[in-house]
Parts: sequence; structure tokens; C-alpha cells
Amino acid sequence: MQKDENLPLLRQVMLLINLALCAFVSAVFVLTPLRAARRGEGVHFLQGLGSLPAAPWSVAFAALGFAAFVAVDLAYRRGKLGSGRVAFWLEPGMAIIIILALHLDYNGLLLLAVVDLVDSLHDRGRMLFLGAMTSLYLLTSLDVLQSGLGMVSALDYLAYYEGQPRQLMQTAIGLLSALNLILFIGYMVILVGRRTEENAAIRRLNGELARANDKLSVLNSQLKDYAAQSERMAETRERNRLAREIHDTLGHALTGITAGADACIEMMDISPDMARKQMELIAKTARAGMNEVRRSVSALRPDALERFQLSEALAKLCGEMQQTSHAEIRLDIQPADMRLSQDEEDAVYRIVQESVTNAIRHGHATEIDVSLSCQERRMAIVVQDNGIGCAKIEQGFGLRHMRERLRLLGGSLRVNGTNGFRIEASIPLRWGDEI
Amino acid sequence: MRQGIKRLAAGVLLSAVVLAATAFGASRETVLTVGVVAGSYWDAPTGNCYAVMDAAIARFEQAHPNVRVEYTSGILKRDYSEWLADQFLLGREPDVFLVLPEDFGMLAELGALQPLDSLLENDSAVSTGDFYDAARQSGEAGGVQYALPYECVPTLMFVNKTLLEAEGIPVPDNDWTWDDFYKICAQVTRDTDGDGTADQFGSYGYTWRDALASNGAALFDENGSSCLIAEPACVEAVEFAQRLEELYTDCDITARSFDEGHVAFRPFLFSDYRTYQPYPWRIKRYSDFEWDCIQMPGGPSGTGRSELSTVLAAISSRSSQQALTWELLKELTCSDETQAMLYTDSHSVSALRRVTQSPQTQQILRQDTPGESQLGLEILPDTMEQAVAAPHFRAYDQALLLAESLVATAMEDDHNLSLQLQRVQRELNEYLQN
Repeated sequence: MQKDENLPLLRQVMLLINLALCAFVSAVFVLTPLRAARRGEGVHFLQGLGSLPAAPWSVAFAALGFAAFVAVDLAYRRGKLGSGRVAFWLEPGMAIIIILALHLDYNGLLLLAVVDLVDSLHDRGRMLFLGAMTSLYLLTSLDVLQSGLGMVSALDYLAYYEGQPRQLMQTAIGLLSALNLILFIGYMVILVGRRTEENAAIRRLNGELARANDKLSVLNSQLKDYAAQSERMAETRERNRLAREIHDTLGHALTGITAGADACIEMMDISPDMARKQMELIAKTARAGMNEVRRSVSALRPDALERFQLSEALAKLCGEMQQTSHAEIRLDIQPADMRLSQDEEDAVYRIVQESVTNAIRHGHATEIDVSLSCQERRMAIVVQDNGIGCAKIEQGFGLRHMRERLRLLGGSLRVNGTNGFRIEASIPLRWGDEI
Repeated sequence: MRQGIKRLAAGVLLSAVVLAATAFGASRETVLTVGVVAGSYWDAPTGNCYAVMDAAIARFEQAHPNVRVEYTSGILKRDYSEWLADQFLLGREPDVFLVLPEDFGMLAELGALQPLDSLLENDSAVSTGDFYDAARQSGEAGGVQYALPYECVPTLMFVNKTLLEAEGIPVPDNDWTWDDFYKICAQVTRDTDGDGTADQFGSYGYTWRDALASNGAALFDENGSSCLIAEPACVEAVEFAQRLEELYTDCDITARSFDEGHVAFRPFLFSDYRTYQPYPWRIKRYSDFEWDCIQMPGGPSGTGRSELSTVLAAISSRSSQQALTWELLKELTCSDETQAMLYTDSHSVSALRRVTQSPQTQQILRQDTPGESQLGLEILPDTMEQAVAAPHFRAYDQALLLAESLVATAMEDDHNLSLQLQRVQRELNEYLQN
């Protein structure tokens, strides 16, 4: 932070030195001819010069130029020049006006312009700017140019004065110029140093970031393992629950029915009335068991069917699948409300879910047509995709599961893998829930 | 809508300001300044020293309405160089100014003078051939014409006719030579009253430099980089001056002896001739004898006769009115009216051939010249044609001073003048190259 305060201070000191130098050289250019003229030594003074000196008032350009230079710099620092690009033309421009007005005798102002502007440039822009300014600096340092333009050097003016005052003035100009140069070099050294530190800090931060990333990816894989593990655990838990349910409901009912039936067989010959009562009891137990099973099954129903009608649930399913797979899934249900029983709805939902999943997973389909239709108390489910299909159909778990579900409902399944993959399922409808 | 009205108003205001500024600028008169020397450069007394300049300015102002020409009066010849230098230093130099011969080298080298070559080329009314060569060359440096001759004065040989008549010698022709000059000088230099010392002399004030000019020799080369005093033509001239000097060994010749009529020849500026020839000056100064002027005697190797002294006029290189200043410069240097006035209101000679050779000028000169004087159209144009321009590099004045003292020392030594002059040349070369 301390360096950030040092740089503006250096810049301000440089500005003051430049002001002092320009004022001093200007004074030499104005006062020397005036002095020579007042003392009647004009011819003597002119004799010592190589070319006609510019009129003293031309130094006013230097004063105006300097004021403009400082104004541009202030406006630039306060951000009033928009993008600030103007400053890169204006400041060197002003510097050149001053340098020309001062007969190319002092070009340290270009260094000041560099110090003022270089900080806000980067890469190619900075190289271009520094290159241009270096060329200008070299160009304005040429004595040949000075004499070529017919400009009289301040040294020639100083030659008019005698020994000691001349030496003093030359020393002053030399010292201030050298100081300006030293400050410039100091500024650049500090600036480069600061840039190097900044780069090192950036590299350090990058390293830390990479390490953090590595850690994060390790954590991520651990988290995946954990998720898989917890999924397996949930599966096991669910199996256990199912086993319990079956044991508690079906097992219980079937045990009751078996026992009741055995009793019935025994009682049939002794007391047909008792047997009839016993049969009624068995039927009641079976019904209760049936209800128990229903309750269990309803606890296992897919989430969507719990909350929506089948058509809505299917639409949601297809919508989600479409979103996750980017395959286009067209759903066509006729009629929209089919009043199916719960197990039929479950079967339809599962079949559609399995078919679409297969089409996407194995067939890599991009277009899937799902159509549900009812005709003569039979429901037809057709899922056609444009995937790769398969010539020889292997009976996997999915297909077998589907067939089993359909068999339970008295339906049938046909598959064809020659043109994409086509599943046709047919379910006889019961209208109502009597079993 | 409001924005539109505002813009329109701003536009109207701006154009009004521009129009007003243009109208004001057009109606305002341009002021040109001229740098003028008070009195004659050759110290010849004149009546109104600004008469020629005033008339020229009046003509110029009449031809250019809205232009006013100003000058600072009262700057004497001895102050003029310093005044001009000071004005240049202060950035207030006049647009057009007279340039004294001794300042021309410095001003041209400094770049203070506007080069005139392109102006001369593009102006069909003026050509460098209008001027006598020597006069034009005075305004030329490094092959560039920086100034045009405003007025000039050649050197002539003053002849004491009374003295020559008493000695039975006819007044020499205009194309006389060193030999004629030397013979007459040797003949008239003698003791007339028998007191043992010579009291009548051949010449007064004729120096090796006069001999140099009449022998086609130059002391320095054109750009002042080397000295040529050891060249054969120079050595010849210095030898002649030395021989002439030997005639007057142990004699004390002063200007007074000349004024009293004891000297036959004396180099004389044309302006002095013009001053003293007419009545009443003629009576006042040289009442005891009849006199006249002829050309300087010619040397064996040269065609020129004398050095021409020329006051030039030039344009400041920093003047903002290049076209007008050129017109003004032409009015001063190339206008027949202005140049003709040099013969009526000044004592100098016009560098324009057509003015100096015109019947009017001849008429004026005749009116001023009494009796059978030779001066007139016959000798003045010849003198001007045969004159040579003095060199005018920057260090010329200093180098000339040094050369005069060195050559004078060399001439005192009787042995091998040529060798002595070679030493002088070496020393002067050293000076010039530093």
C-alpha cells in the first residue's frame, strides 16, 4: 500500500521540477533578449547565435501549453475524459507544443507524460505508447533537428552572460534535468516492481485455487459413493418393508384362509351350516386380506399417480423425460379420461415409463411417439421410437416385468425392433373395481 | 422542438460573429513598418533625409488602399545596426528595412531576411538584370538573393586639376592604369619651396585595398572561409601600394595638405563629390583649386576599378505580409520614381541601370556640375559597371581589421613581400576557420 502513495508523490515532484525547468528556460528566452536590447548589446548577442532567435512572446505558447498539459492531466485523473483515450493524444501533443516553444531545448516533459499515462495502459497499447514516446524523445533530442528548424539553443542564449552567472544557470538546468530523469527512472523501477509483485500474487492465488479444486473433486466422488450407498440401503430397507408387509397382510390373511378352509373341510360332513358360516368367515378374512393388500399397494404407488390423474401424470412423466433426455416425446391419449382402476393405471404408467426409458437408454431415440387408445373395452398402448432398434430382442428384466404386469391384468405385449423400436401393449378393461 | 430553436439560435449567433469578424478584418487597415536610417550612410549632408522614403511610401499607400506604412524616424547610422538587432531580439522588427553593408552578412546568415529568389522569378516586372552586378551581388549570400540594392556609392578618384595644370600634366583618361597613376605621382611629388622636404604629393589615401579592387583580386573568398591575400593578383596589388608608399617616405601627408591643394589624387566617394561639387559647397571647402573626379586607375590583372558601397533593402523573414512587403520592397528598390529621386534628394547612385543611364539623370548631373567637368553619363555608368561588391560574410569586419594591420606590417618589411603575405594568409585563414 505504501508504494501506491509513493507513485503519485513522485509524479507530483516531477511535475514541479518540470514546471521549474520550463519556467527557467522560458525566463532565459524572454529576459536575455530584453537585457541585450536594453544594454544596447543586440548586435553582440546576435553575433553569437547561429540563427535568428524566436520573438520573446512565442514563449507564451509554452506557458499556455503547460497550463493545458496540467488541465488535461487533472481531467484525466478525475475521469472526466470519458475513456481517457483523448489524454493519450492531448498530453504528448501539449508536451510537443511546449518543447517546440522552448526551442527543443527541454524534452523532459515527454517523460512526465509517460509517467502520467503509462500506468493505465496494458500489453500492446503500452508497448505502442512507450515506443511512440521513445521515438519522440529521441527525435526531440536531436541537435540537427534544432538547427534544421532554425531554433536557437538555450546554451547560445546563456553564452551571452559572463562566467559565473552562466555557469550557475547551466548548472541549474543540468541539475533539474538530471533530477527529472532520475525521478522518471525511479518511478518506472517502482512501477515495474509493483507489477512483478502483483503477478506473483496472482500466481499464488491460482495455485491455491487449483489445490482447492482438487480437494473438491475428491469430496465430490466421496459424496457420489455415499449417495450410491444410501440408495442401496434404501432399497434394502424397502425390500425388508415389503417382506414385512407381505408377511403381515397376505401371510396373515392366507394363514387365516388356510386354517378356515381346513376347518371347513372337516365341518362339511358334520355340519354344513357351520361350514357355511366358516366359509363366510373365510371370505371375510380374504376380503380383509384383499383390503390389506390394497392398502399396501397404494403405499407403493408411484408418486405422480398419487397426486394426479393418469393423463396428467403421463404428461408430466413425458415432459420430464423430454427435458432430461432432449428427445422429443409426443403423447397422444384418447379419450383423455379413461376411468381405469388403480392397478391398471399403475400398469399403464409403468409400461409407458419403461418403454420410454428403454427407447432413450438403449435405442438412443430422438423422437418417441406414445399413444393410448381405448376400443371395445381394450386399451392399446403403442410406443414407437426412431432409435437404433434391435434385430434380435433379448428379454431383459424390463420387458419381462412388463409382460408379468400385463399377464396379471390379462393383457398381452408385442415388440418389434426392425424399424426403430415398437411396443404394443393391450389391456382388457374391467370398468369398476370388483374382483 | 426547444432544442432545435436553441441550435438554430446558436448557429445564427456564430455566423453573425464570423461575419462581423470578417467584415472588421477586411475594413481594418494593414500596417507595414519600415526600418529607415536617418541621414546618409556615407555621411553626406542632405536636406530632408526622409524625402525619398516619404515619397515612396506615399506612392505605395496610394496604390494599396487600407495599407499604412510606418517608420521610426531619427535612428542615426551609428545606432541603426543596434536598433535593428534589438528589434529582431524583441520580435518587433520592421517588415521591410534598410540593411547596412556591415550588417548584411550577419542578418542573412541568421535567416532574418526573406529569400527573394522565388519572388523575383515570379514577378515579371523585375529582373536581376535591372541592377548593376556589383550592387545586386551585395545583396546575395550563398547564391541566394536576400536583399535588393536601395542606393549605392562608388569610389572615384579626385583630381586636383590646378596642380596638374601647373605641372603641365593633362588630366588622365577614364581608362588610365596603375602605371599612369604611378608616373604622375612620381612626377608631382617634390619640394616646391626648396626647404628640403617634399610639400607636393601625388596621392593621399590610396591603399592596398583600392589596388586590390582595381586588380580583380579579392581579399577573401565568397563565403569567408579562406583568405586569398597570397594569390598573385593580390601580391601584385600590395606591391603596387608598397611602391606608391615608397614615394612618400618621410613625408607627412594629411587631409589638410589635400584640402590646401598640395595633393594631386585622392580616392573619393561619389556622395562627397555630389555634395561638394555644386555651389555653395564647392566654394566653402575647396576654394583654392579646380578639381574633378575620374575613375580609379585599373590594375594589370583586373577589369574592375573600385569597391561599391551599397545600402540594401530587405524583407523580414518573419513578416506576416509577404505579398505586400514584396510590393513595398519593389517600390523602394525597383521603382523608377523612387530611384530617380536618389539623384535629386540624396547624394547616392541608383543601382537600376535604366535610371542611372536615363537622360533625366544625365540632365540632373549636368545641372549640378559646373563648367567642363567630366562627370556625367560618360563616367558614372562605367564606374558602376566596373565596380566590385565588397564581401559580406559574418566575420568580415573583424577579419578586415586584422588583415589591415597584418598587411601593413608585411608592407613595412622590404624583403620578399610574397613570402610575408603567405604568412598573413595563414594567420587570417586560422582566424576565419575558428
